Amino acid sequence: MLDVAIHHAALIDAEKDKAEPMNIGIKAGKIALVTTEQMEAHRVIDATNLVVTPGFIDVHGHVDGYDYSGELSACQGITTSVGGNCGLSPVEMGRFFEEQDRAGFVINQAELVGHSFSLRQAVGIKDPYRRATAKEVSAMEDLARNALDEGACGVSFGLDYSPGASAAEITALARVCAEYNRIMPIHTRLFTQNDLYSLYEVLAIAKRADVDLLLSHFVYQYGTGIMADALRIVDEAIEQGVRIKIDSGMYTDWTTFIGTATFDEQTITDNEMRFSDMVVATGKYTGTRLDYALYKKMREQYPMESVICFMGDKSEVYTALKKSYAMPSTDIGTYKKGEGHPQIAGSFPKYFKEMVRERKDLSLVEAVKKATVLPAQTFGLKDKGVIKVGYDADLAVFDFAALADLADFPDRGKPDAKPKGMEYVLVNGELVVDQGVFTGQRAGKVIRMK
Amino acid sequence: MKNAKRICFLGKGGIGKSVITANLSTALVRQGYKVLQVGNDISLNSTVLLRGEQDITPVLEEYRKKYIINIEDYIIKSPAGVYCLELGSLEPGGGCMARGIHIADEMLENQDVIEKLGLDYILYDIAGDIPCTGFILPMRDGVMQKCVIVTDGRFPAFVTANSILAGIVHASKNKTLPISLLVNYADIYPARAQLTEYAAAIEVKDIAYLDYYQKIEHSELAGKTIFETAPESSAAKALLELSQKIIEDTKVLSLPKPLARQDLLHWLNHWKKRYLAQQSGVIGVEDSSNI
Repeated sequence: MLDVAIHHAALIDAEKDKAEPMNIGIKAGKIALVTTEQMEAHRVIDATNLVVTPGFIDVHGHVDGYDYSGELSACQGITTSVGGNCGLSPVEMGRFFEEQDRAGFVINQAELVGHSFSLRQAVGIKDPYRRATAKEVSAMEDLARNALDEGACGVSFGLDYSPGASAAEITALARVCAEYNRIMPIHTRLFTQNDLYSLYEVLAIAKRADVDLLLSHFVYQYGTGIMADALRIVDEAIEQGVRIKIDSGMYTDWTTFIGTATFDEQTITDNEMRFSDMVVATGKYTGTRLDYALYKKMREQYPMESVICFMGDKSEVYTALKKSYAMPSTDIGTYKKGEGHPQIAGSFPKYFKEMVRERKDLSLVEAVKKATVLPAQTFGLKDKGVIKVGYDADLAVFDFAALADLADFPDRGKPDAKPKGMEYVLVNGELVVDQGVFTGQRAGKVIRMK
Repeated sequence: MKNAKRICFLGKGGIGKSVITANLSTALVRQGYKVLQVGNDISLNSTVLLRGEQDITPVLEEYRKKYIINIEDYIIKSPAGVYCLELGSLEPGGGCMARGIHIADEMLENQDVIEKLGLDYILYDIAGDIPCTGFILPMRDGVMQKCVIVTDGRFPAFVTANSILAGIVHASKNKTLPISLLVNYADIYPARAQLTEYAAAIEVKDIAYLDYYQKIEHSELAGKTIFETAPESSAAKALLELSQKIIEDTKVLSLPKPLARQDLLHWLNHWKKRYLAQQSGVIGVEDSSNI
């Protein structure tokens, strides 16, 4: 007998480009049947009036084995998260995967090995403004190769966090990534708010290394009124044969650790940021707007707390995500309950609600593709992203008419409020969200790339 | 590996930066050094005295189209032996030049151009009146071994020089820097008097002067350096000496204290009065050194 049967759902079939009523049977973590027939199973879900799609794949997150982030991801319909982004990751990938296997985790995790914090630190570089020596570059290459051998899905960069990284250093690691045919997600470095050379430098490196590029949280980088120029540069590069995808969340207001170079006073001045536009996202000052005194205090005493910076032009989110090569992402971090940025709980529901239902920028099928099959193809995730017999039973079942984000910024509401309308989420055939309630099942697997 | 000394020339547009830089480049070549001059003006005008009729393709504009370029392909050698590179500009309104010099400089290094051409000096002739961060980055990040702030005695040039200094000091977080002030048309009142006093007031230890020479003006109009039109002239001699003073010495460090706005306004008013006095034929004793 089947483990689970989902009846009467409107199945979004990205390959056929349409939604059709269909029943899905699941056995041993895999999709066993896709049929119009009724089935018997240990658990039968009546999905009348609900939509069933492949589980969403979040290409840009920092879940990294943190339980609460896994829970918040699952509750948005995310069944696979790519961690280790922005150059911040485990370096000993084999050990990380083993730990995750041992403890179990709610959703599937693929993991990148990160340059800008992690590999640089591992070879002893403490100053983010300094370039790596030839010896250090070679040591980073070795560490990256080890991680890729052990199944990391690519090498990530957070160049804003290592402004001093040289082109030679980045290119060397890009070449390693290309050698393994894996992805290079890159959070570009903008030296000033309108610094479009931040893109050209990466395009030059990608072309030279012949690597697949993923430009991370694109709206956080270019959603400040220069989106049209930034996208034109990407379009031109694609025409020239550079392989590029971008990802973006649904917010223009980004967050990162207050102690990073991003929040250096010089950077704040250069980018015309204001302390009154910054709100503390974690720790004892959660929800408080910054002033100079609090800024100084947090930089000195609480460098690892996160601060949200309100900026940008909201319409540029939609402009970016409409691109055929754009994928939605969360940029989820690891936060305690009641803390963080609403992106951690609201991103995917907000994407469907705003871009499909309200604005009609995308059809439902198009929107699903960008959240499922496109990321699966981009990262080469086998058996994911499509509802097909033999594929992994990672599914999201939701009420499209009701789907909505409820998370808000910490000075206004709860950043980790779970969305409504996400009724069932299955990871490898197990229900991690059941009737809208998180079950705590550790159904996820780590994805070791080969 | 060969390490070229990088020196940038900054200052208000139109005060003779490019003319001076081109002449200094040539002066250095005549002393046996290998020199690359890099311009970033949209007009590609920095190197025009050096290369004459030879066309030059602006390198960053090509980089934005092709991503991978061989930077050597964009360097041309002037008849006098100075290597010339023009960065070009942005599409007006698109982005910011902040990284332009960085990116070009990194290419010169990574593509071994410095080694291949055996460069001793790279002279950056940087156009731009507003000391925005982008403009100041190469100084902040230690790309440059020396900054030469060019000004003349006119107030707009002086105000720009003060702002550029303030920008550099701010961005370099109060480190001592090899900064020098170069006064062009020093013999035209009140340039020498005013700027000597200014340099002392803001604690810039290194100041150099270049007087007005009709021969330099004429050589510029002829599209040439003084070393082509009048190599034996006193103007050529002055430029040779200047090259030795300003370029070979990168060891004089200053921690400038540029004037704050209010002080700057007082300063300007004071000097306007003195200038008026001079124009009216009432010259104070304190200015006699300027005559």
